[in-house]
Amino acid sequence: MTEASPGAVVTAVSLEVERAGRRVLGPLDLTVRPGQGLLIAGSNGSGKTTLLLALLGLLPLSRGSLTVLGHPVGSRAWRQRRRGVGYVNQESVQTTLPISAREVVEIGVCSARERRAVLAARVETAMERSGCLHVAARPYRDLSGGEKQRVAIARCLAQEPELLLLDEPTASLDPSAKDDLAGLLVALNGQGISILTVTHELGHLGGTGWPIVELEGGRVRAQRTQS
Amino acid sequence: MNALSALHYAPIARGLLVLLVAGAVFPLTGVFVLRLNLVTLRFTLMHGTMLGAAIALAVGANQVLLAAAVNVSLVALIALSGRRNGLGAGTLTTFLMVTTIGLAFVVIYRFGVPAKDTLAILWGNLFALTPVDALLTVAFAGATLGFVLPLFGKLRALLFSPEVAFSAGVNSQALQRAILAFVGLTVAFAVRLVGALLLDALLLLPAIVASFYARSTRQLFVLASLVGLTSSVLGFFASLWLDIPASSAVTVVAAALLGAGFLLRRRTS
Repeated sequence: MTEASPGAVVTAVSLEVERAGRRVLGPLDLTVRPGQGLLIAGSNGSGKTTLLLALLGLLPLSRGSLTVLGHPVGSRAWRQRRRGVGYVNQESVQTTLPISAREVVEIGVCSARERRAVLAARVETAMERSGCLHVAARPYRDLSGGEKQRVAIARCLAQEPELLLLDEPTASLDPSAKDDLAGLLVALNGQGISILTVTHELGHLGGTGWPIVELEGGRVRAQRTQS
Repeated sequence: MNALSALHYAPIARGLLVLLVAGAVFPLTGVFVLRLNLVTLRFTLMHGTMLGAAIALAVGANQVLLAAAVNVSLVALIALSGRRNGLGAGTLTTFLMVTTIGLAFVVIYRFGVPAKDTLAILWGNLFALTPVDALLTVAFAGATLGFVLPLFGKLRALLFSPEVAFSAGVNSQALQRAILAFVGLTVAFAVRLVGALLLDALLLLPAIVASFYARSTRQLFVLASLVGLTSSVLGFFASLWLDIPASSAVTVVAAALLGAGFLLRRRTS
C-alpha cells in the first residue's frame, strides 16, 4: 500500500468505495496539498458526494488507502483530528429545525473542550470572517441561500479547520450570491485553508483559478488547470 | 370533591407531583421523536410497553420496570439489526410492533389478566402509581435532564444534521443509540401515567406546539417543556373539577393547545 504524500492534507491511493455491492467510486488517486484549492466536477452519480463522505469517514473504503490530515481515515489518530475538517453539505440547507444562525455556528465548537467565553469568541470571529455576524440572531430557515452558505462556512471556521469540504455550495444560489461565495472561498483559501469543492456547475467557481478534477462513473476522466 | 382538598390524599398528591415532573421533562424526548422522525418507532415502543405491562400484570411484577426492560430490548434489537443486515427500519419496526402486541394479548389471555387492568394499560392510571413507580419516574426524569442539558450542544448538532455533527467531532452513532434508549424508556414511563393511547399528550403534542413558535433550538426545548407542564397542570385540575380521568383531561388540554397554537400561527404568519 502506498504511503501518504508527505505533508499532504488528503492522499487517496487506489481508493474504491462500494455501496450495496456496487462500486460507485474509484479506483481513484488524489492529493490535496496544504493551502490548495481544488474543484471536483461531474454530473449526478459521478461519485462526487461519495468522495466527500469517504473523506469524512462516513463511508467505509472497499479498497485502497485514504489519509486525511496525515492520518488514515478511521484510525485513532484520525478520530482525534477529524474536527480539523469542516463540512458544508447540501441537505442541512433545507432543514426545518428551529435553529438560529448563531446556534448553527455553535455546532462547530460543540465538541471543543475550552472555556465558554473562548468558544463564544471563536463563534463570533468565525461569523465575522464569513460575513454573517449581522444575521446571528435570525432563524436559519429564514435566511437566503447565500446567507445560509456563509453561516455554514462560519460553522466550519469555528472548528478552526485545515481542510474545508463543500458539497455543491452554489446550488440554489442566485448569480450574485454565487459570485460572493466564490470570492469568500478564494479569500479563505488565501488564508491557508485547503478547500475541496465538489460541484456539477463550474460556472461561478471557475473564477477561483483552482485546478479541476472531472469525475465520471466514479473515476477521474480528466484533470486540468484554469488559466 | 373540592379539587384542592383532594390533594390531601397521598395517591392524588403523588399523581400530581409525578405528572408535573413528567409533563415538564418528557416533551424533551418528544422533540427527538419529532425531529429524528421516530414516530413509527414510538408506535412499536407503545406496543412493547403493552407487552411489558401485560407480563407484569400476569406475574405480579412492577409494570414500569418490565415495560422499560422490553422497550430497551426492542431498541437494542433495532439498533443491532440495522447495523448488521441493513434491514429496513420500517420493516423491522412493523414486525416488532405486531409481534409484541400479539404476544401481549397471548399473555393477557393465557394468564387471565382482568379486563380492567388491561384497559388501564391503554389509558393509564395516574392515581394508582405506587411510591416506587413515582420514585422511578422522577429519577428517570432526572436522568433525562442529566442527558439533555450537558449534551445539549451535541444533541442540537445531531438534530441539525448527523453528518455535520460527525464532522464537528460528535459520535453521532452513539448519541443516536442513547436517544433511542431514552425514547424507549420515556414511552414505558409515560404509558403508566397516561396510557398507550394518550401517550402523545406528553410526548409529541408539546414538541409540535413548540415548533410553531421556536426561533432557536434552545427555545424549542424550553417551549416544549413549558407546554407539557401547562397541559399537565391544567389537565390535572380539570380532571378533578370535572371528575374525568386525568390522562384524558391532560390529552384534551394538550390537543387544545395544539389547535390554538396552529390557529394563532396561521393568523400571525
